Amino acid sequence: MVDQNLSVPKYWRKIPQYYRLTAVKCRKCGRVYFPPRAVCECGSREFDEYELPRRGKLIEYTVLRSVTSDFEKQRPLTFGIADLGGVQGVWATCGLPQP
Amino acid sequence: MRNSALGYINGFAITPPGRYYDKGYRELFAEVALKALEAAGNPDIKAIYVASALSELTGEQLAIGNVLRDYAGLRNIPSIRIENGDGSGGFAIMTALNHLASAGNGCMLVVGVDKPHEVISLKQNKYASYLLDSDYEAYFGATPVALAAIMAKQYMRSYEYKYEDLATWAIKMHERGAKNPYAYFKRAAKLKDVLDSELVADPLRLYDVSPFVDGAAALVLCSKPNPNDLAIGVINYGFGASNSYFASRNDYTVLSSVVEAAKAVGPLENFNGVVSVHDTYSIFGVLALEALGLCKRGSALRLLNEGYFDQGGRVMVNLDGGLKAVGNSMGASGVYQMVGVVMQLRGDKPFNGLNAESAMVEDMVGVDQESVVFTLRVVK
Repeated sequence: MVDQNLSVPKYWRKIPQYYRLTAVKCRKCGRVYFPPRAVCECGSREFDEYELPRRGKLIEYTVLRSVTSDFEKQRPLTFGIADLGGVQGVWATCGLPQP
Repeated sequence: MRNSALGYINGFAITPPGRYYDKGYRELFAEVALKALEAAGNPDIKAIYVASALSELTGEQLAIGNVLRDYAGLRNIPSIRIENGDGSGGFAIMTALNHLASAGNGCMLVVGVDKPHEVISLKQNKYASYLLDSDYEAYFGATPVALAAIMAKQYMRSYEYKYEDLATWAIKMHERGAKNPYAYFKRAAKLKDVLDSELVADPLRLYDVSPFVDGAAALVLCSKPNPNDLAIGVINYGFGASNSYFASRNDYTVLSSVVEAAKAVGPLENFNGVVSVHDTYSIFGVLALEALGLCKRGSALRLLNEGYFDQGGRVMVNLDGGLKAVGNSMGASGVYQMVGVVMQLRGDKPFNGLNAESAMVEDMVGVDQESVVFTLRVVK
């Protein structure tokens, strides 16, 4: 997606999160985590995969103009926090120009 | 507050922050390490703690301790490098204090050193993005300033502040920097300068962002004070952490890790003295004052504008100009902060006539990931 000197395995193992918003849901208490965690706040270590909804509410956003070396061509970048179906905010990011 | 100290600062030294194209890690390290040791009367040192966030990224050097030690002629002293982002300095001091406690006596040398200006600013931004979650935040191009901007927006909206209110932070820090020979920015700034500066991530402008600087700062921490000098002791420290993933936090108007760290130190509402907060971005300076319990939530910006945190008050904040004016030397920044308050407690130039007896230092990693808060006192 971007000019990154990316490690192949590092990218490959994150495909479920990057493209399908795959979170994890605790089997015991139902808490949902994105990104996934190994241990739930309730102490349980058993999770199921859980796909987050594709629509949500934008909580806050900003337009970043001072970017990193990998994103020079995408400047400016828009970042937001979104609430996806009651799950704690997720980074919504896009290379949209300033509104 | 406790009366016995965890350790005494028997020697210190700083390099004026800048862009040292003619010096590397070893040169900057040796300058301050040797000066601090000399100031402390060249005591035996049990260990060297090197605080550095960027040694392998810009310095292309792992296991940096042996290179630094060799160059400075400090043979046969073990060195431990502490990396915890821009909070490395504070965490190195914390670790050295713990070592001092377990050793029971002796001295430790703590040196913060970093050189962001080995690379261009786009690369500096990339390395700063490593302070965030590399897989889920930095991967998408997020940098700490983008998250700080979101916090600034939420804070200003929640408590009905205008950007002009926030601009006061930069103006005050520049004003203080103009009087500090160790500042990187030694020029005062007017409101118009701040308002006309480029937007970095709305609402934050260039003046809200501390500049990257090359720098080195050193402390000699000992179990006993130097009998020939003013005894300045680190009385206590506290650690705190927040959620690492920014979007999983509930409240974007508070620095939770600082709240936790301040709680661990003890009640600070009645604190009076000098305070140094880690203002990588103006909003972090403001939020730190609230998180430390020095004022009520939502009131810091109003009190700042009223001059409550100026010199002569009960709580004097960032008299050296903070990271905003002194510069952000990444791993060294916490050690600069510590040296800054030590100079203020001693009344060294340009801080003469303060008569402060207590100090507080807040060092934070990235965007409220982890924090450490220290209290210091002149011990009589």
